[in-house]
Amino acid sequence: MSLGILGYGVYIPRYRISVHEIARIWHEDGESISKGINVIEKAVPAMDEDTATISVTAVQNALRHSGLSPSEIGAIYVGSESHPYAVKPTAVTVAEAIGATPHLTAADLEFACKAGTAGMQMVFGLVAADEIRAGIAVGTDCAQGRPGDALEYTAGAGGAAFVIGKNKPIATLEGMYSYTTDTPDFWRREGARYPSHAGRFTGAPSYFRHTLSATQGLLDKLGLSLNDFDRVSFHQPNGRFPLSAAKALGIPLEKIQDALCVRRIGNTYSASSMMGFARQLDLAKPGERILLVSYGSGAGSDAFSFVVTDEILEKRERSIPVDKYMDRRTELDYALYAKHRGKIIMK
Amino acid sequence: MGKNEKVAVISTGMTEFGDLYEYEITGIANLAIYEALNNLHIKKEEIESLYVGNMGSHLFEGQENLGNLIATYAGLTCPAFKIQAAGASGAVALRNAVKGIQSGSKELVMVLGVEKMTEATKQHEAQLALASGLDTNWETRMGATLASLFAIMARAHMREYGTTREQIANVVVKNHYNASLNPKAQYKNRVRVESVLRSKLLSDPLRLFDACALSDGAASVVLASEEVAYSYDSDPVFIYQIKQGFAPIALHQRESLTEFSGTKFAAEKAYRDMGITAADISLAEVHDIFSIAEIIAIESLGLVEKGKGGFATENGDTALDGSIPINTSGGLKGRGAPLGATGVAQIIELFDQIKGNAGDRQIKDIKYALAHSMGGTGGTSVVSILGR
Amino acid sequence: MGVARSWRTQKSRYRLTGSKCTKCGALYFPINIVCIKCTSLDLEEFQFSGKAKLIEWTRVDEAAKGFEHLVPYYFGIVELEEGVRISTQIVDVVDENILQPGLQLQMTFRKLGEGTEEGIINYGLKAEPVDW
Repeated sequence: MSLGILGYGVYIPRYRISVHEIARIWHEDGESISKGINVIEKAVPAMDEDTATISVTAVQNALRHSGLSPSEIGAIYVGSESHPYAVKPTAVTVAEAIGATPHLTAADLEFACKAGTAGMQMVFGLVAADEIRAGIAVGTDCAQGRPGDALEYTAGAGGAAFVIGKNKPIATLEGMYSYTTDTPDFWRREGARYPSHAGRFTGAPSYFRHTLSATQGLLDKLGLSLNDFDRVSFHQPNGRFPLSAAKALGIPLEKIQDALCVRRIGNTYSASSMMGFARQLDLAKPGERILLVSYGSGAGSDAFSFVVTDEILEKRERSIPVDKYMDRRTELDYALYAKHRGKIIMK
Repeated sequence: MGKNEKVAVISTGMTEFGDLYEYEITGIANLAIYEALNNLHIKKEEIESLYVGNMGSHLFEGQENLGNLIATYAGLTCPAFKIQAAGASGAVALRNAVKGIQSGSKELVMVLGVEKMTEATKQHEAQLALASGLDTNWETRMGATLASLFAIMARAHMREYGTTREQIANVVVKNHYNASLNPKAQYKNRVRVESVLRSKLLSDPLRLFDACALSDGAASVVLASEEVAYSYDSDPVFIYQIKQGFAPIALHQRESLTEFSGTKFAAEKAYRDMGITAADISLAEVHDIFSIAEIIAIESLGLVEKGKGGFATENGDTALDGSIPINTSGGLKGRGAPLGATGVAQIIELFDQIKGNAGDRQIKDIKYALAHSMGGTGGTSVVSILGR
Repeated sequence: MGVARSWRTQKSRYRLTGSKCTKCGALYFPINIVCIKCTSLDLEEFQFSGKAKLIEWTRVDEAAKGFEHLVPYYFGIVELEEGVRISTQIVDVVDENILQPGLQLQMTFRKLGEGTEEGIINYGLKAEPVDW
């Protein structure tokens, strides 16, 4: 019996809009923007999808992969910055939809793009304390960028869910470490439609400082070096930042490139680092060590070290790999994208 | 029904169908009620009961207790009440009135079918009112419209029997033609197949011209026991049979998408109890709430072979000069579809036809005439057979 | 949809929970409290799998209220693998030529109609083509 991940699942809406198409509308150079942010296209939800629906499908996939029944789930935390309601939890809808109610605890979390990993920490804590046998942490977002703003090129949609427990994990948790400060790089005030960001300030003092510090903190805590890790997933606000962070830490490209879902689905916010982690798990062999580091503006990073077990091979046939969802794609033009994102006011 | 239980239609009254903006619902009711009374100088005190068929006064106008309202404004003091069965409201009211006389407790009653739909000036208000006849929880709230369900039936019929889109459009062309000969019809304009096929898509393959328009109108009939009838009319028109058939309210709960099983049940029972067959029917008014409904209705009634409704329409079999004229009045499509009034208006058309008063659309040598009214997508069906 | 109705029908709407008659085995969707086949009141909850096949469909261009933003959308009658039929939207149809009777479908969790700014959000199941 060791603490770890019993199963995971993701969901990515099938619609895509390319960076080129968005650039066409704002008379920008799509080629250079796409190259600059290292993103080709981003995932767009269907008109009847939101954070709750994406979470439900991701959780259903995760639960099937774990082999657990809904009644074994003692906690569900949904991390997102696009919860459908200002007041009323998404997590209860998820719990109800998978049939895990009523004997469990549930809550919504919000910490920009790291609310999902915050949920993982909480479930790990509850399971470690033997308060629950298993729980689920979900990171999901249907991110909104202000039209014409740099964020519009990357604000994607997707969800990733992890079932956490002790019985036959596919990856065991070695340890976690967080690095948190009050750093105002990105925010949205109550009632504001779109978030605001602090431009280049989102880089060095924000994303990089926290990501690198959390990584270093975890290494120190566990007495490991980066060479001990086979795979890495950092938060992916764009396709450049995680590569720059890896470079700064001396992590070779091949250890992080499999995690870079952002190139094809954009920044899925609360799901972003978890989606990359899920893809690393899709490809991982037993015995491999994986580093997961999230980043949430505001700001903080949660770092985790996992070691993949033989169970991963047993359960793999029950999983729907991230690539299945990434490959299932229908391209939208900007007009349809606007319709999908509710930017056409009908009443 | 035993042979002495036939009930006579002795008088009728009907407003024009259409945009009757000038009148309240009580106003159009009065026009129909008093036309029927005054035709035969029947005193309003002689009416023993008023059966009001109405689908949506609550939804269209926020008005219920409709029987009492209409009786008050008409100066009737007899028991009055509303009967609601979606599009079949008028026909179900008629059936209950017939039963009232058959029971022996009444001798002279009035049935009023009435609907005031133009109070809904917004598309979605009317659409929602029409959809209220469906299973709101498991059809409407899942995205169904009345048109979408008939569209599903149309697709299934086209798939199963090779019915063509043009054949379905021919129902509209025919009914508009018939309506052009009916002074009280809402749509007297004739249409071509191409205009049907070019009208706005509602739910593929059905288009705007396949549907009935909103309409205001009232229609009333005075029913009498056989004995009483002869004191008013030496050669009365009788309702020989009036049967009600059931099918589940939701289309997905039915065995077949290409048959109105409740209609089939009611028709077969009516023919059997009367000792006739469908071949004895000379003409029929059917519930063409959408074009495809007429095709499925005439098949379910046994008036044409199953699967051949589209072909029969295309061949002209259902035209005024065809072997089995259908909707000589113009139907719901042409004459107009104030829903609660339609089931009663059908009886008036058959009454006029049997009496030889149908003018340019008169059918000759009528043996029996049939009326078919339906609620929702076919959950409630009423089939009546009239004759001398 | 009213709050109480939305709440009351949640199990059926969210999870495709129906009923099974413990006497005669008849299946119902949505949840039913009486077996209309054998009149028994002994029914237990039954979980439908969510696998379905297409019976017939249409494309809706004139929407039901609350669904205007989805136009055009696909709506159809589907048969659950356990043999019960339901009405549902069919989502993520990229090529309508695939919509042939018998098409394999899977129920998926989506928002139902749009509702109002202030009202609750209604969720439920819709069918999506199985494309892997």
